[in-house]
Amino acid sequence: MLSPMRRQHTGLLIIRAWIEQDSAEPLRAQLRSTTDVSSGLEPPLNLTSDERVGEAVRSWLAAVRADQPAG
Amino acid sequence: MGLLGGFQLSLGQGLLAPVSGASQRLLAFLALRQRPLSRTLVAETLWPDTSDARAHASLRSALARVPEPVRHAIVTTFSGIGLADGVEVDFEHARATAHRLLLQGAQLEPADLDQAAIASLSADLLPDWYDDWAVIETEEWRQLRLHALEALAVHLAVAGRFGDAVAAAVAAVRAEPLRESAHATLIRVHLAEGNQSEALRAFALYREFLSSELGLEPTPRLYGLVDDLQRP
Repeated sequence: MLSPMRRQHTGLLIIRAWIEQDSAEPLRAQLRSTTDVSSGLEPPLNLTSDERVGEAVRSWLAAVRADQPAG
Repeated sequence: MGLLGGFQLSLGQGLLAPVSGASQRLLAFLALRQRPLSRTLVAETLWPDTSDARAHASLRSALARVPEPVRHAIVTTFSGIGLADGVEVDFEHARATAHRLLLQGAQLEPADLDQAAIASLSADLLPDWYDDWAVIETEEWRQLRLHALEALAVHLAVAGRFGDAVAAAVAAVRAEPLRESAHATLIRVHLAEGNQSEALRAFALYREFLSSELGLEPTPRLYGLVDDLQRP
């Protein structure tokens, strides 16, 4: 018997990063992400610290895992 | 073929009926590469998550589904695929304009400084296309057009066309509101025109936005542009 086809989502995370010379916090990181490209990207998230960027990436990965149908 | 602001095909002055999504991707990919490509490269790039055989079958299907007037835009040989001579792609013109604007000492064409150039440089490439090959191209274009809009604003201000210069600088700000050089360009254009109050207003808006978004102050360099204006 055929099982129903599982729809597989593809997540996407784009990090645009640049340096604003002479700023108190020079890093600018703009994250645009989705856990399913077919639904478009979330509004951008703007961050200035490496740690916050790392946290955001981990959080996105967790959301991608949570969004996938159970295998 | 229009790739800026979305995919669009036109013949003469008239828009053509939409083609299938797969055919759009094939046409856009060929337009961006600007030269004939091997079938294998096209198939594996556009259908990366399938077997080679399936990818080639998908390519054949996409080619077969291209409707009659558009079919003449594609040249196929046994091993290669490319766009036919005479197919105009808006992105090619915009990219060439951007490069001329950024090249020191380049001979600019009158069209490089017109409002159509501002509009082209304000448009995203294939918005909402998230294929791997498209994402890379769109990000490259985004960076190029941000720099080109700032350069265009400076060229226009030097030519005394301050209204268009402001439009180009505002387009750069809209494209990336956190990019300080875009705000600096806008402030400089206002100052070049003698509009100190507009320069101060542009500075205040950026300062407020930066504070609310990131809790930061503009750099001393940006303060330096308006410091003298704020003294009583």
